[in-house]
Amino acid sequence: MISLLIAIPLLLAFVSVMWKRLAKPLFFLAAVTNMTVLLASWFPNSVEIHVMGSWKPPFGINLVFDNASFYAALVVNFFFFLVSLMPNLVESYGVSLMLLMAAANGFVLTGDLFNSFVFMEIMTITAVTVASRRENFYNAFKYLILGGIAGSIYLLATIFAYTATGSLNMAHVSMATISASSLVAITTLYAIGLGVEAKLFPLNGWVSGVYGGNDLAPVILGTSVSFAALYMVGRLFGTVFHGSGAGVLYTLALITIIIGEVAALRQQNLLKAFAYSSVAQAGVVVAMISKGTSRAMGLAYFHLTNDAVAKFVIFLVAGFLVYNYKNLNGVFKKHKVLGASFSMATFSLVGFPLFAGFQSKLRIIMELFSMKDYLFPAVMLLATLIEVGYVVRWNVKLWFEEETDEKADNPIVAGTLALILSLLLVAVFIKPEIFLGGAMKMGNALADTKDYIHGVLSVVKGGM
Amino acid sequence: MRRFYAILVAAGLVYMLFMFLGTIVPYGKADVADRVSAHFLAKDVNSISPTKWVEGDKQVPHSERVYGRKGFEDGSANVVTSIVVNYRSFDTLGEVTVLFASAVGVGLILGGTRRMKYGRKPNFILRVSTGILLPLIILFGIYIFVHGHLTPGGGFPGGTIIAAAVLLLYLSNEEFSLNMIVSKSLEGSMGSLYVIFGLIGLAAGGAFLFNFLPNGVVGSLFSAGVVPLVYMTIGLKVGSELSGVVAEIHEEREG
Amino acid sequence: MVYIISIILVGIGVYGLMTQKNLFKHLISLSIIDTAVNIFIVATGYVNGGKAPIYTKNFPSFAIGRFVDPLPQALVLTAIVIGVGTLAVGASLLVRVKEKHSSIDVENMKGVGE
Repeated sequence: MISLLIAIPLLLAFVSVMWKRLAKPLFFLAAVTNMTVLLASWFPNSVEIHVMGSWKPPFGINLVFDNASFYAALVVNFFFFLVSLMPNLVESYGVSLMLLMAAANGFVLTGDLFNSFVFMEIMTITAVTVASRRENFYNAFKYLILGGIAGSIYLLATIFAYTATGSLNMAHVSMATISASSLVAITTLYAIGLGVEAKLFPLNGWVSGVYGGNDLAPVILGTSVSFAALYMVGRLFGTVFHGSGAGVLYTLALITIIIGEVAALRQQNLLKAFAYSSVAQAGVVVAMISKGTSRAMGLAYFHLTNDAVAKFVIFLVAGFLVYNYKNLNGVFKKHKVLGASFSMATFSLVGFPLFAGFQSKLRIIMELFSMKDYLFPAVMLLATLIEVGYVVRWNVKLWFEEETDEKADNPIVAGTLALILSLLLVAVFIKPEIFLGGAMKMGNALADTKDYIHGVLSVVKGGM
Repeated sequence: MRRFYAILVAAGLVYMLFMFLGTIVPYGKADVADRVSAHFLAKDVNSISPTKWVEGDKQVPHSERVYGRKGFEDGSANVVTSIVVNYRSFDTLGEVTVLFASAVGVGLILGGTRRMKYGRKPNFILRVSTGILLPLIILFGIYIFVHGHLTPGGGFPGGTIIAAAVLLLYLSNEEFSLNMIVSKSLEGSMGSLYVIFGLIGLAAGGAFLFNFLPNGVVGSLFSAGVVPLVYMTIGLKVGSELSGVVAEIHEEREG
Repeated sequence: MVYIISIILVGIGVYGLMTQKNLFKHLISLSIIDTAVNIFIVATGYVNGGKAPIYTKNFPSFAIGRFVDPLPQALVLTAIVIGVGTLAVGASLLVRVKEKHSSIDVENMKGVGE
């Protein structure tokens, strides 16, 4: 069944290139099918695999379906589903979005190192296509170059892993005895290779240009794709390499947080400001993943889910505003619903009580104190202070400043979605289990290497 | 100053990679027996125990005669092909998708509608030799992807050669422009066909991209189950796809 | 030796990316890095005296050390195609960059302020 998550969007993408007009409805169909498939197999609670071409692991390629990849696939497909509800956002990018969806699903589900490289490259190329919308060519080009280098380094890491262990299967690599020096080589190269998609410090120069360049790219790249990339960070450094190389990640992530927040504060463009904020949040998540315990990873993904939902609302509203108004002062007086959901999402981002961000930030800081780590909480509190600064500034600017007489129609679908999602953030504050339960299961699955190996290598079963 | 930093970074990276070199096998000393590829070569993946293999109990691959015999789990004489289209066919589906994604991307980014003119007449030799070479090039391309399971080559090189023929047409004739409807529908239908092969395998053998046809005698043209079929699909798809890219690069936007 | 050459090529590619002002040269640097990595991968599978992994009349059966490792070759086939895709998208982006900003030289591009 789970191979359908990749096969259906791919098939529909191939079909829709023949009939261009069908691309939008088929994208919707693909998103609905994927959500149905996922809802039908709610939290497997065990490690299921699907072997491609019935070649047993470690010889063939296998898809792995456990709590971690289920939760990640659920989040990824959920945002694609939301985007597919807004046809004026999709425009002529239906085919690319379907391919991006297939690739993100494949990236999340695959249990093979080289296969994940292939899906990462599909993600890069389609993401570049999406990023080039609204003539944003130069920034898309920068993204392509950085993504290309990252892909090469990722491939290099894969080949080092292959020569060290003799196979490309993640489960086998994670149980094979790799010498310490070779482990350093592999993890360093993987950290660089994933650094671009995971928006880590030296490699995140593309983020502001790509997210700030049009209204579709941040909505999909900042939520689904970055969730998939950060899932892979957890899978590789948590499950496959048992936390080696975590020190490098931790340092880079802390630097990323500070730099991202400072850049966000200085930024005058609404989309770009929150693009930098998403860099900083990615830093928080990676630093948390590098802690390596199942609870820390669960909290990391809890935080990431909250952030993705909030960012979806923020980017949706911001994208609408930036491309319909020249002067953003006081626009929320005309769009009260959008304004309310934007404010709720930004408050959740900061971590004000009453919103989901509070729950995840508080838990992360408590968890870090219990681990006797005081540096990271300090960085996080500093980051929160900066966040308060720019969130309040933007809210004041968008709500209370003198408005101009520009006018635009209220986007009904986008407004409704934004409102529902921001109410969801409030609901998560009241009842954190909505996200926390799944994220914790995901953390457990990522940290439990033994179960993963056992599931992949002993349960040889074909079937759907 | 910029150059200095560049040298610093590049040198740092090179130094780092040099350090990492010590961790991999020296050139020419690769031990195939320790790797999964030994069993891809011997075509005995199904007969060895993967659980024992991963625990370090490497089983001896069989060394019977393969060429000209039948009854193996995979029937192509070219082992690279058997890996690309059979053992790791899912990667190849991804690879086809990468090309597809970039063809779609090129179309969306360029968005041309009108054939671009070079503004000068192609010379005599080019025009005449195109007529002679074109059928030969296309025939060679088809030969390459039909024999992909026997000789070096396969769908990707074959398709590229066909696209080169289209490029030659573009260079030699200013009026020529590719029929995009034909190329798009060939591209789309061939891509769907690959996924459908996979889904037939799912229905027939219980696994996506399962080889559901008999393998035949290793080394004969009609052998290796779905491999030649898949390679022909890929060849046509890559050919039409890259021709489409060539065509799109030769188009310009109005105004 | 092959390893060293490919690593130096990676270095050259990175240096090119950081110093060149012409965007097309960035694309070429990227493709140098790609090629270098591909050479490296093929080299990791080489066995001294090994033949191409194709069964023929002269080499009808498998023996350790007879054939080179076919898996890296298969991986490189995939990686080359991916490189081609990246190059095609990059080149077409540059065509449009040139149209929009009237140059592909970083210093002469118009309208690329922060």
